[in-house]
Amino acid sequence: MKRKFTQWSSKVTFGLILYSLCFSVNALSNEPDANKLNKEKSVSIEATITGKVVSDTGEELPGVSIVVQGTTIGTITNVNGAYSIEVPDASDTLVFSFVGYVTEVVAISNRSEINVTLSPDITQLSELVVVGYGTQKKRDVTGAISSVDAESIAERQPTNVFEAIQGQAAGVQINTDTRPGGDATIRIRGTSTIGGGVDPLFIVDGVPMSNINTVNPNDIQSVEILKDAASAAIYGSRSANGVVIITTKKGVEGKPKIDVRYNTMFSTLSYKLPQATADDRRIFDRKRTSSSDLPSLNADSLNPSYNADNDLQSMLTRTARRHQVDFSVSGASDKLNYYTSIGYLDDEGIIINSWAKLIRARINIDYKASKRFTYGNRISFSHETENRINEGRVLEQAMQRPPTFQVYFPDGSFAPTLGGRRNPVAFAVLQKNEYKDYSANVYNYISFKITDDLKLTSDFNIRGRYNEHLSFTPALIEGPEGGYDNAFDTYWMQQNYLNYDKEFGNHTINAVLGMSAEKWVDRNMQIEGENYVTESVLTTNAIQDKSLADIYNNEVRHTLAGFFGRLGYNFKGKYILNATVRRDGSSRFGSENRWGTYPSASVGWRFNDESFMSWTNSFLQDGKLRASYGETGNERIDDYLALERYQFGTNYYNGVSGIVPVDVLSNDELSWETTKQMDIGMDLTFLNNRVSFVADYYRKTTENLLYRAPLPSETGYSETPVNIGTIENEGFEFMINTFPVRNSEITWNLSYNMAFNNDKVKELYKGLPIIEDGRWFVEEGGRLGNFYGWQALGVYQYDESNAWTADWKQLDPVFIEGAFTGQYLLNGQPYTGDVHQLETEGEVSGGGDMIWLNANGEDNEINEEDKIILANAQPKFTAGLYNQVSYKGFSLSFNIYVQWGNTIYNRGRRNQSTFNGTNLTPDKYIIRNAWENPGDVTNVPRIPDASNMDNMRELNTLFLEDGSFIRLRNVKLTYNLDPSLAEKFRVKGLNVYVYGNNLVTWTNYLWYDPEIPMGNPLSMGQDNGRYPRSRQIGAGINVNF
Amino acid sequence: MKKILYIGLIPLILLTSSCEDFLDEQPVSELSADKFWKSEGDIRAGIAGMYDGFQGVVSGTHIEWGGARSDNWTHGGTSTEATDFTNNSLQSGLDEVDWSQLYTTIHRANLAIKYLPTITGGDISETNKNNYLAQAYAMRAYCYFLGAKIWGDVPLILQPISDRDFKPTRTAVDVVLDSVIVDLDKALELVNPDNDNVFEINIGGILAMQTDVYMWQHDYQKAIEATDKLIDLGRYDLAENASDWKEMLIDPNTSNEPIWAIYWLILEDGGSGIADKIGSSDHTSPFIIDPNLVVKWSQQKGDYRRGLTYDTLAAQSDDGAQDTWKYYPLDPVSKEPGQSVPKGDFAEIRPCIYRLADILLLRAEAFNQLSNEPGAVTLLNEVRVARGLDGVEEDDFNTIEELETAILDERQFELFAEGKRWFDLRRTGRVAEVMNPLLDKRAVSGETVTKFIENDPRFLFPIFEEVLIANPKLEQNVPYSR
Repeated sequence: MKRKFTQWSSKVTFGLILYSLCFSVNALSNEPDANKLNKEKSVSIEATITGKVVSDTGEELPGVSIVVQGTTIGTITNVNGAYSIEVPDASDTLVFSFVGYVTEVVAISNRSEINVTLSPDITQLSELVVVGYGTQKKRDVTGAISSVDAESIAERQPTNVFEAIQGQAAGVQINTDTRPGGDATIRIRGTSTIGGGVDPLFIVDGVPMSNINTVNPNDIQSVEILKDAASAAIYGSRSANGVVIITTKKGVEGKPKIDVRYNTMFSTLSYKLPQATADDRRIFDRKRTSSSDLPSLNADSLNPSYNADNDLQSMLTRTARRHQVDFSVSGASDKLNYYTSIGYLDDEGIIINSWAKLIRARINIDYKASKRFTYGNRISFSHETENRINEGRVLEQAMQRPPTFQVYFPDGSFAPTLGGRRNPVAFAVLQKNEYKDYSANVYNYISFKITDDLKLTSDFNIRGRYNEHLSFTPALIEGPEGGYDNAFDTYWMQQNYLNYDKEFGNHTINAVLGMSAEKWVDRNMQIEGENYVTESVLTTNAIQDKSLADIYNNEVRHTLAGFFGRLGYNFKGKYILNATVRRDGSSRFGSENRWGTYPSASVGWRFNDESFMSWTNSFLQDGKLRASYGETGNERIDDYLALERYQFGTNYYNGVSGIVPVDVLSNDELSWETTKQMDIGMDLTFLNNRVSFVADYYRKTTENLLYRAPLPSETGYSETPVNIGTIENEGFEFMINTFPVRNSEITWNLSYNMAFNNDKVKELYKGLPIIEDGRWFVEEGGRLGNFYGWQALGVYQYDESNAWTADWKQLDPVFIEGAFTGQYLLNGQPYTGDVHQLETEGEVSGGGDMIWLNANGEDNEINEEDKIILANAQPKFTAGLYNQVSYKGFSLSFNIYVQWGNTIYNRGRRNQSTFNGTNLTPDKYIIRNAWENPGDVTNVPRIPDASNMDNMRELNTLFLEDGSFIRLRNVKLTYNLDPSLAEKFRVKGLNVYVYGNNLVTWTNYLWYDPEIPMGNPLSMGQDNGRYPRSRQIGAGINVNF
Repeated sequence: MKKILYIGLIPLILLTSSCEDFLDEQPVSELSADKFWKSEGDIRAGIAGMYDGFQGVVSGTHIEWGGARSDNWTHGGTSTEATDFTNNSLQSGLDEVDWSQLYTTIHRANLAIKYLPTITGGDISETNKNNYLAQAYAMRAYCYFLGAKIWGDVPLILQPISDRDFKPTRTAVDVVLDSVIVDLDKALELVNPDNDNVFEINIGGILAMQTDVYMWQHDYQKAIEATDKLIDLGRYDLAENASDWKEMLIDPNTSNEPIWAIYWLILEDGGSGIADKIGSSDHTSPFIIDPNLVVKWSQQKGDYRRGLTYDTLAAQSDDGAQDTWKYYPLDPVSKEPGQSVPKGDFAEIRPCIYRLADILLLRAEAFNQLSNEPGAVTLLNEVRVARGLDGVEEDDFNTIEELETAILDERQFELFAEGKRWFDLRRTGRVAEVMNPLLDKRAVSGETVTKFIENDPRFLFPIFEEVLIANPKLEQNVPYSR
């Protein structure tokens, strides 16, 4: 009973808030109407003013709007930039405004001709910024929002949204995947969760999306990244990791515009690893067997199976080609606005037989049925096919397989798995791993202007995503086995919201009030088995032995409902205030804890408008201080975790399909994770609009962290979902954008952004540290991404080098003519005390064994207690630099991306260096430098014939590497054909360009590439040996009709 | 205008009140707990789930737990992990020392033990319900018996756990074994004596477990009593010839010798993990038959089991035998052992956990310990004759120990690769005696080995490192490191 009452009462409270919001909006709406009426009454025509408007480069500007300040009287310039306007006598000021230029306010002062020069607005302060459920003028934004526009996206030839925005916004770390069709990981202001979803919420044209690969970057008009909680909180329960709002293009009034773009590109392996050759492999075998005999494998010098010298990296990679074609038609009249596009991407990977093909189409229509009534939709389709290389079977094997093992038989057919090592070339060529994805998203809205200021929008979105996956391994390599699976995910969303926007006098008000409901239904199905009746048919009817546990279909559902409101007020654009609140309910949590409320507030102060700041007017065009605070939520965990469940379908015994408990212990108290964020920022524009500067400091605290706590396996469960602990992220970020040179011939734009983030774990469940996979250690006061393991101090030169004092200082054994004298030195002085030796797994370490730091110092045993925190996987800072120089028709741009101060666990390299199998081949360095004879000075231990000393244990510092890098991400040289010349070709515009991606990367990282996906928050920074990165060179052409 | 606002808000308010229903999502493809353990069908499925858990134990660790450390096997292939088992250098990081799957099975048995008695009414037969309950008790007993033999003290958990903070400590091994005996007594009370399904724990299986447990505790009298009861069932006969013996191993259902076996079907369960360890065409076996055993066995003239266990032509006295084909059928045409072993994914292995030969030889061992030499020799000969061997005489043996050696040797050949040998050596205190000469030999050929000592703590296995990480209250067995 009590439960019901509290629920009901919270509903009532919220309802009351909504109502009072509405009423206040309503009450305020009366006054401005009267105001406007009064002004309009006083109009009487007195004088005509003419003139011309030009840009700062002398270009005549058509379409500039000229308004008599304080009235609705206005006109626009003609094609020559000329205008004529009749002004009433009471007025004394004209306002000249044009998109992309700084608005000029000019006093009439009894003149009849007024010529005006407009300068480009590099800060685009008048531009609209898309915020949740509405737009704001950039100058009125009080939160921390980064925008990326279509122009800067076009400079990069991106194939997806991630490539389009990497390095363009401070505090947004993007690590792209390298395979064709690859994804990316994106972190906004660090990682602020440990068990919930870490990706930001993507909103594409008002609709939450999880797969934004379906968005063609060429269709994007703008990307807004809402970084602070006050901006993001209107999206409530899913906004804790920030929100990325993508707005696609619309038509521009005038004749239909037809764009055709084509580009092609060649990619090659950007960095080849120093892999072992046959010679190295022979050295490896010699060192491993430590005998003078030739190892048995190579004893038969005539056996072609084991006497090759293959360069597997060269055999597996190629120069790959990419084609990208885009076509779009757009236009607008006063009733109809349309944009349609279709794009095709054919992307070969640099690993043989890897490819992806992608078609994306879009239709954006807005139809103004009447003055008050607008209807529109955003419809998008995409279809992707991909053959994905099995990274473990191909890349890992390519690194581990002895180069001496043959790949082809003399007759040209593939050699099979030899000595437990798969043939990576055969796997790349023969194994099928095809993915197909079909997505369609249809968004419809109607908006109705109830009054001039109050608008009701009601929308409905439906999305279907169907994907299928066919896998097949032929008999020649481990098969025949394979299968087919598909998934059909549907999603619908319904939203209703009211927007109220009103200006009266010096006051501006905007408000939003609304609700939304969403539902996801995901179904999937699979059939797998072994033995195909024929290998030429790969549908599942060809499978002879279908395995019962691998045949199923199943379904999960998830619902979310929310109510939200925002109230914004500003006075003269000088004092700005915004407040939002959202209340969300999710099906994922326990029935008691379903609802969460997310409030936020932010203020802005434009101090350069204050009279006491007038002395700055000569150099400071805009100056604003911002402060905000908000709470956001995270509900991204698996469905049904609050419920105790049983599962079945894979637990057969003796013909009965067994029913077993799921291995997650349910938690009916499971609830939201909440992130509280404070942000203080400053926006400055100075030196004649040539320099703009944005800086933000933030501190965000995530409480009630969602975490799947591991349970002792003795309980029969593996984990349980809980809300535990607190993490804090603190950081500083800035962006500076400059035009060092800007005149009629040359424009030079240079911009730089940089972000620092530091996190701290404040509180954990019962204060207990989390040890993830034994390799990451998360403790109170520590950081996420702390690598945990053994510190390697080097390799014992001699058996006798394992000699330590009682307080674990290493002693130097004294040798005379190669014979140990029985004496030791400590810091060069003879040592006479007790000599202690370190042991591992009960064995005394000797020459060639790793010297481990005896961290606990209490015993002579190197064990779990000697693990320490070794390094951190998170970067100290990320930075991006963008440079563009245009001279006449030519434009040269490049951008640089920097990630600095992070450590990567090079696990791919470690896994080939474990010495756990005789045919596991380490790289050249490990082999050449491995300890062989007493006295060798090296950091690589001996190659043993058994692994009992565990010298390559996981995780140790030998494989922790600096992941810092500076990358020349793109370079592009464009030539724009002179418009007059273009007309001769009967086109409106034409440009051609050449470009290069990833031309240079400066790094000390030893594996393919330091830009690796960030991974799960508890296990970040691990490189298992991924698809290598390519260096790309291409050319393209864009034509507009 | 207010009116319009009110109208606009009506759907909003309606939605608020129906929100709770909208947000109440129940699993579609799973069963919420309140809907399970209601009917006889549920019981059947729940018990099948329990056996499914134990299938994982057998498929995953049958070879490593019961044999890899004994003189049955040496390491082959390219993995150095097998070496850790055969050369007595176990480490806590080895996946095969993980007990998680054992506890998964125990958890499922505990759920059955908790909920079965609560299911009443309808057409549920008490006899069937009790028979299922007996299987749950017996399965729990067997799992704890196994755990006690391998790790000594193990956490004893007899209830399904719902406390998120629960971190058990290790229970003394004697207490664990007492609980095993209590569970087996309960099982014996509840079991339906008419059930003779060899893939379920029936009355014979329970009595066999009792025999095994009492033998482990050296309570020979009670062991003999249990075997008396088992023999009195009149259900079991030894396979009499080579083809029957092979058939029993391939399909335990068709023979009268198996007492409890684990069902396996590729279509339901995939390939058995046992194959990848000891004999599959696509993996180099990490465990190969030790050359000493090959030599020892080849001296047993007339033993048909040898050729049915491994390829005697390919076996070398210095290399051992690479693949064990004991569990694979004969060539359907030649009725001879097949020339090749199947791929791991196509291996259908249904190992017997208990069968009559095992119990008769345990009984012989008990007689021998109680100085009933004639009884012991009779039983030993019963098995030997059935396997094509000549009988032995009482006079062949001067001491109890000598006869015990003969019985243990017989068990080694008979139950090779059936998860018995290591426990036989442990039970009879012969680990060091048998293993050290072998380890010496391996050391001579340049391998790193650790020899056993009397009452060596290394008789126990280490506790898996991830288990220790998840539960800091657990102590590692000495001398292993955490």
